[in-house]
Amino acid sequence: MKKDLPKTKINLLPPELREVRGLHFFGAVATRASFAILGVYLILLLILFLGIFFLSRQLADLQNIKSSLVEDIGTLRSREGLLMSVRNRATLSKAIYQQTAVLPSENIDKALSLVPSDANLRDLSTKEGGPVILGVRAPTSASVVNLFANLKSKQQFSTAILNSFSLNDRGVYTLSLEIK
Amino acid sequence: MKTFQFTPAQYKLFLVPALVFLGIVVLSITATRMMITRFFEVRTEISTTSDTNQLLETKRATLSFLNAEDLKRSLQTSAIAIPADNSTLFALSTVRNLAAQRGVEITNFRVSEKKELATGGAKSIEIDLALHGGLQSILSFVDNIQSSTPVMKVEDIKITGSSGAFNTDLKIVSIWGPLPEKLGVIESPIEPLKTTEKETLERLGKLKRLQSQGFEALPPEGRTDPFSF
Repeated sequence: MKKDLPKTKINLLPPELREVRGLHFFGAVATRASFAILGVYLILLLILFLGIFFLSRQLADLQNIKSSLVEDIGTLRSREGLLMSVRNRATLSKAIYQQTAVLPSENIDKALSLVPSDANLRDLSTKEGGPVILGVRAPTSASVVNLFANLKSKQQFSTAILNSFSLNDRGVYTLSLEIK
Repeated sequence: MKTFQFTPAQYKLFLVPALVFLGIVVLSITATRMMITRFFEVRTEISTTSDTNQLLETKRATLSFLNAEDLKRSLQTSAIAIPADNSTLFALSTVRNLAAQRGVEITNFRVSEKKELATGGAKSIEIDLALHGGLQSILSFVDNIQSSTPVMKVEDIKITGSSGAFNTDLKIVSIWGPLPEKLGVIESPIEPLKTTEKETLERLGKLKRLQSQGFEALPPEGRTDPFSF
């Protein structure tokens, strides 16, 4: 009859290597994890590479279109030059035309229209954006009244200041108005 | 818990593969970083090129739509209205001819060049005139001076005198300025003429060029289209 003997493990490895065997498990896990990471990395690398490839092709296409556009515009550059020059003249003319102030010549016409036919212009001065100084000699008081009546009825000026008013020994009225 | 004890021989065994592994990791990181950088560079370039192309397409359409002959005509008239070179003599010639036409006597004049305007080297000229003549003649002179070439504006006016003849002091301002000599880069945007600019050019085109009264100072001409060779 066979008698069961107690199992006895015998490790013949030298003592310094016995524990190292325990690392095999961790080694296997590490190997699998390494391959998995490598796989993911390669996939990402491939995606990145393909992305760069397609974007580069798109960029090349766009650059071709750009070259063609630049060539087309090159043939139209003389028009651009003309447009630039014309615009330059239009911009320069703003120094003369684009002033919001009323021009002196416009004010003069308005001011002269106030002077009655029997009165005489003594002096008149104005500058751009400034008031009109109107000096008038009126032979009669009715003429003076007419002047003010014109000023009121025509409503071409919003303010009027009587700077001076006099009557000489010959019965001629002299007055100076500042109108704006 | 047990700790593993490695012998120096075991360390040496792992050292070479560990270094190789480290090298591969460093190289991979560098290569990946370069690729990612390149990826974003290309994306940025695409965006920039796409924007530039859009701008160029607009510019091509704008330029194609422009009528070169109309532009040439506008430039010719506006370059006479606002000469490219110093227009003092031209302005004086107009003033003189106009005074002769309207029966106004020029008793004195003074010309001074004012400071440079902000726009590309343009300058303004100031002409102080002393006139003598009938009121209607003077008023007609003042009206006409502003509708003749070169472009002029009466800035200041003072009329004194009696019913017969009047003395008048006028301050007239005119401008001149060189035409642009360089075109911008081809990618620079361009806009068609605005309505206000068209109106201004039309106004410049309507200015009259006076007929000579004895002598004529030719308007400075030069090349009206500096970009056409």
